[in-house]
Amino acid sequence: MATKPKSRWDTAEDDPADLARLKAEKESRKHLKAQKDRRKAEAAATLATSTASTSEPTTSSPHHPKRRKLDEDASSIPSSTPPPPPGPLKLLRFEAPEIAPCRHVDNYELLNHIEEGSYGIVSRARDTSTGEIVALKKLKLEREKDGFPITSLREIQTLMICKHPNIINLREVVMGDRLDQVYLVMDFIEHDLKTLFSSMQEPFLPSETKTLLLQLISATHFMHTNWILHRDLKTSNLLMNNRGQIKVADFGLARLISDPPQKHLTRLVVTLWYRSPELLLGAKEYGREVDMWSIGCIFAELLTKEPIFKGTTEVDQISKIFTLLGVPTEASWPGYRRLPHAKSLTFPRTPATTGSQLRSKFPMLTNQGFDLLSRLLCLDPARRITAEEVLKHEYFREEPRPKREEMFPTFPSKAGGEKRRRRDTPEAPRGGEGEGEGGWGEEGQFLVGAQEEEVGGGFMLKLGR
Amino acid sequence: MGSLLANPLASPLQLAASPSQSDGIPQDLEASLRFAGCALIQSAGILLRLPQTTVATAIVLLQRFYLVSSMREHPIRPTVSAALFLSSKLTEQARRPRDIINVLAYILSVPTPCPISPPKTGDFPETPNPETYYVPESSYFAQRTHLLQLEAHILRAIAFQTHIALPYTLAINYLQALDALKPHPTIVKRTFGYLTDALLSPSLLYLTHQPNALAVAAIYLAARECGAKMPDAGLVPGVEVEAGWWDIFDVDREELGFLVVCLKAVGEWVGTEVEKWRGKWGDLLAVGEDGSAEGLERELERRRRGEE
Repeated sequence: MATKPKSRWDTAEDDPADLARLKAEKESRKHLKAQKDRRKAEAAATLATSTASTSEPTTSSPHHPKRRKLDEDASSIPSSTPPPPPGPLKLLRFEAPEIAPCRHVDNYELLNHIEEGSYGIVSRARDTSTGEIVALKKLKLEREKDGFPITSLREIQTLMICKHPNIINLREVVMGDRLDQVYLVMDFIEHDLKTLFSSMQEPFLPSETKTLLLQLISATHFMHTNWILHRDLKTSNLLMNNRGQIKVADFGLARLISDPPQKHLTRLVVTLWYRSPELLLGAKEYGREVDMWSIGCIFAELLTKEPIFKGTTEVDQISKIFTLLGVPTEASWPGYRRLPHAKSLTFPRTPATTGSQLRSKFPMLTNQGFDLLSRLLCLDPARRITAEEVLKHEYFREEPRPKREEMFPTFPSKAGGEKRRRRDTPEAPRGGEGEGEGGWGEEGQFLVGAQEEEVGGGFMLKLGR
Repeated sequence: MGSLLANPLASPLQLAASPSQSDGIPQDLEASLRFAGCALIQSAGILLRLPQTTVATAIVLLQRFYLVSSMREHPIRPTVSAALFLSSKLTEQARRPRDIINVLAYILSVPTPCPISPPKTGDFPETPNPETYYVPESSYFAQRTHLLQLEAHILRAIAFQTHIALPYTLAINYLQALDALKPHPTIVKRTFGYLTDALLSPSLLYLTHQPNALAVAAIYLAARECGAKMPDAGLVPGVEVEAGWWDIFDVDREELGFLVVCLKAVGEWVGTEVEKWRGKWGDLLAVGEDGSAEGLERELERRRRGEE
């Protein structure tokens, strides 16, 4: 809203650069000439096409694919992004969404409840304009006395940044008639891993585990490069659709971090079973490593279907961790003794207790897989593996390769209100390797052979049908 | 949504007809009120010891809010407090409503360096009497309720698009890339000065231009003032087009020229605004017990009578 019309270049007294103007004129002359030439060429071209296809112009009329209500004006006014610069120089232009108020929750029709937690109520709903099924999460704001809760602000802020195939997609935020009725509209995803585990007779196959872990890591890598800590990674927060994709959800504890790290981050984060030793010992500063620890716990859970450290209290949790991984020494975790709670806890430090029992717990895991697991579950946060390093880990390159998403089995959705059917197809015989490739139904058997062919995309897709 | 570096922008339609103007507020008055809001946030931010990131975020929130709301329905002063409250949470610098309300009362009651504070006259002692800026309990609770409501209104108006990309850190990056930091240590301060000025511009530069363009324009002016030599234009290999250093940061010369003119104009514009309303800002921003824009209504009434 310019108050006085501002001409772009002719304010003589404070012209930023006379020189620049001269140059601009020169350039514009050059540009004009180029334009003239271009126009000439274009005219010739259109003449050629119009004579060639006089019967066709109707088919090439601008098509309007399903336009959202919000876009109504967009067609009548010039878009807010500046026009492309003259000349063939390509400048980066960001896609800028518009500034417009929330839509009303009436745009969605409630179907059924999925679950209710302290954070709010999640229901399944249908977008009345498109018919798409979505998940509606109603925030509990009625009892908020200090304004809009900062945790919900963080959740929305981080989710809006996180546009990634393995992170739950926040479509929009809608409101009801009252100011305290706020709903997050997200893609509806059929399962969560936790519930899925309870109905599965056996854990995922090694190839499937790899795919899921890789997806989780790629989502985490995306979050971490965008300065976001999730701080509550666990299997019940990993949703899974029927197309073999997991989506990280529930950003209720997520927040943006900074470098240098901000002090006074709360230590009350991450569900106990997935909480890292430095948090349990009361570290004042922490960072991306806490998410990596949780991923280590999830990796272990993917392998066995069971959470690896099921502590009942914080002390119990840390002792379970130390029992399995060994009590840290000044060599294995420098400086851990200085952490606030380390003094009040005493653990026997003998060669027997400082050794790790992790390997014996996962005898079936390959050496590479074990290397990855032990580096994720590294007690010293400074030496814990980062998301970027995990992506390059050899574990994902050795056989069996990660299973293609299209080849994943499907399950009846509890959230969608479907009953679990008994799987009457028997499990396919295991493939050649001891670890067991193959899987569910016939495609699985083909897959054993197909897997060696690197990326036979089209071929396998056809088989999947 | 989208990139961390980009902002949602105002559409030309939104800029042409603001809700306040549709509501009968003349354009110049709207601009004055918006300036008052931004100046108030800037000064309150300093007294609340908030970093400039938080302050700038609050100002952009306020500007986005009035792109879809009227100043008659939602007066400036409570919106300022709500924008500060919200931005302090968004940038992890949370402040209490109590502190925000007290600070606003202080700025509007006693002379401070804030351009919209009452002017220094003989009436004001060196150390102001606390009674002049004390917020009585009943008034505090009313203001607090109002603040919390407006927070929700702001969130609704911007559809929870709370991520605001700012040009400050980007400008430092660019200055480093241009090798201008070491030889000219003062260039950062000048650049930041222009970026902060831009927040007050009546052209709503933070709603019409992406942060990279703002950063480049501020650097352009700062470099000229410091005598810092910027790289010469050169031919881009492959396309054989001459490109200036601003092109490298994805800003074309047209946009740069426009922004440079706007940035240069802010100082003078602020001067005339401050002069125009000297001593009258407090009255203009007055809010009634019921939360109505009392001061604004009085001013509108005065203008109506003046016309008759």
